[in-house]
Amino acid sequence: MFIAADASLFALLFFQFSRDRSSQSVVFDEGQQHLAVLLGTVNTLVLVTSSWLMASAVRSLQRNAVPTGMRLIAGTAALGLVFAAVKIIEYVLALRSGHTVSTSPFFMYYFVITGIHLVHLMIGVVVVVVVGWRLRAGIRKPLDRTVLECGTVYWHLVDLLWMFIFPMLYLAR
Amino acid sequence: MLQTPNALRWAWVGLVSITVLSLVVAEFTGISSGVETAVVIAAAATKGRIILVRYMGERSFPVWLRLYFGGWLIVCASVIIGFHFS
Amino acid sequence: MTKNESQLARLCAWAVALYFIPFGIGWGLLGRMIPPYPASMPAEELAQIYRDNASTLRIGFALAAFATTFFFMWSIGLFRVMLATERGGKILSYTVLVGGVLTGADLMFSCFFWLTAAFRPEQDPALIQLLYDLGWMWLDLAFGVAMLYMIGFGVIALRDTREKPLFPKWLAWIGIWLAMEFLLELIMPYFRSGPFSWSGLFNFWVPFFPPATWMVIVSVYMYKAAKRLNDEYESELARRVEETTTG
Repeated sequence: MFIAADASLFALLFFQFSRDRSSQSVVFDEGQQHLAVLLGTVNTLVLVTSSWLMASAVRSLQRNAVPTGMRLIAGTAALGLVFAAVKIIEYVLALRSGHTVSTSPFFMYYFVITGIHLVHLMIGVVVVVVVGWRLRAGIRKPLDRTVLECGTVYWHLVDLLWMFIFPMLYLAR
Repeated sequence: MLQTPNALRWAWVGLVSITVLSLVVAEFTGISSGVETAVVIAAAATKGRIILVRYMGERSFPVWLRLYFGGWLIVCASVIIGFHFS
Repeated sequence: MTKNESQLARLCAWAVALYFIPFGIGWGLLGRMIPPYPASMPAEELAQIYRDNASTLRIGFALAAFATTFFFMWSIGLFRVMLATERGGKILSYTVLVGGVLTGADLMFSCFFWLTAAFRPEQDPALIQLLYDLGWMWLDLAFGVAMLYMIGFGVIALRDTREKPLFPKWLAWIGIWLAMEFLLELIMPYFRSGPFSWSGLFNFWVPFFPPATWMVIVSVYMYKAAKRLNDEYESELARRVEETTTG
């Protein structure tokens, strides 16, 4: 329910972005030129890999391969932090070249949308770590299973959202 | 949510390939912006679907949630592409 | 919950209507807040609107401020119901009470800024604008208190172990999500226009109307819960009486 609601917020953001973009495409395209597409791509790959690790972790834990599961969860969290680090580098680069939230509508959306996504991601990292901590002795109660599922679904949602955010902001012209 | 390790691996391969493909189409080909946007966003929706089914285990979701996410992918993609052409 | 308490709690559930209707008319319609004037509006223009509509604005905001009294009533009723719903210690219930009351206070006090602007609209337009801005900063950025009661409510409702919970889990989750959504208001002061400003899609329409709808739905369940709690109490009482008389 929560996940669905969160997804709708982002859908609204995409809608608003696209609508504003269509009326000011020149400004938006110009802004887009300044984005570090390569870094964005790297981040996409990082997140996709983290999702793979997380899904594998779930599988391991369901088979009671706890040490493997824990390693995979640690890997997921680590990749999450890598994403955050790359994103921050991107922000710093953008700010250094003089682009801020108020530079143009494009940059407003860029910072706000990726910012909100980044906050979701950081919460996701915490969630993943908490799930890992809670399941460090394996799945013992039905509630553990639920926690694992919910935590994982949330992480994949963060990935899913980025699948749209990246092309929409960085690639679509 | 039981997915075989192979299925998960192939999902990853698929996601990475589509990502790289999108990048190439967007940055290194000279196709028109409208087509490029459509391709890139369709790729996004495809990647979304892969994540939903392979990683999130969408098959085990309640019906309304499956419909919701399916609809979400279609609506988001259409809205973004639609506005691009308007 | 005794019969008396249950009746009063149900009355408090109804208070939601006593709050929304006058507040909607006073703040939204007469106060010209739906939609609000954008932050980008020049002071002169804003002052002129306040001069032209001073009477209705005054009535509107005075009415709206008074309407929040029923918000307080609603909060107290909700608190009492949550007290009976909460499993274990009662800290979360108190959080609901404090959060709810402070949210009402937030709504009430913000009206006073706009009311003051309408009281003497012939003064310097910059002052009118200052008061207008103050009202919005106050109203929007105090969202933390609303988060307290909505999340407190959500957690209590989720932890309810009754076979048929007093409040549905989806209602709890939506409340928690709506509360988290308020965090977007943190960026509101950066924008004088656009969808993230106080009149924009994300910082006006989204944080005001879905939570308002949620409040009404909560009130419906609150009403039913008060009744059920009374029934629970009565049957428990009857059971104990029987035990002592047949024991």
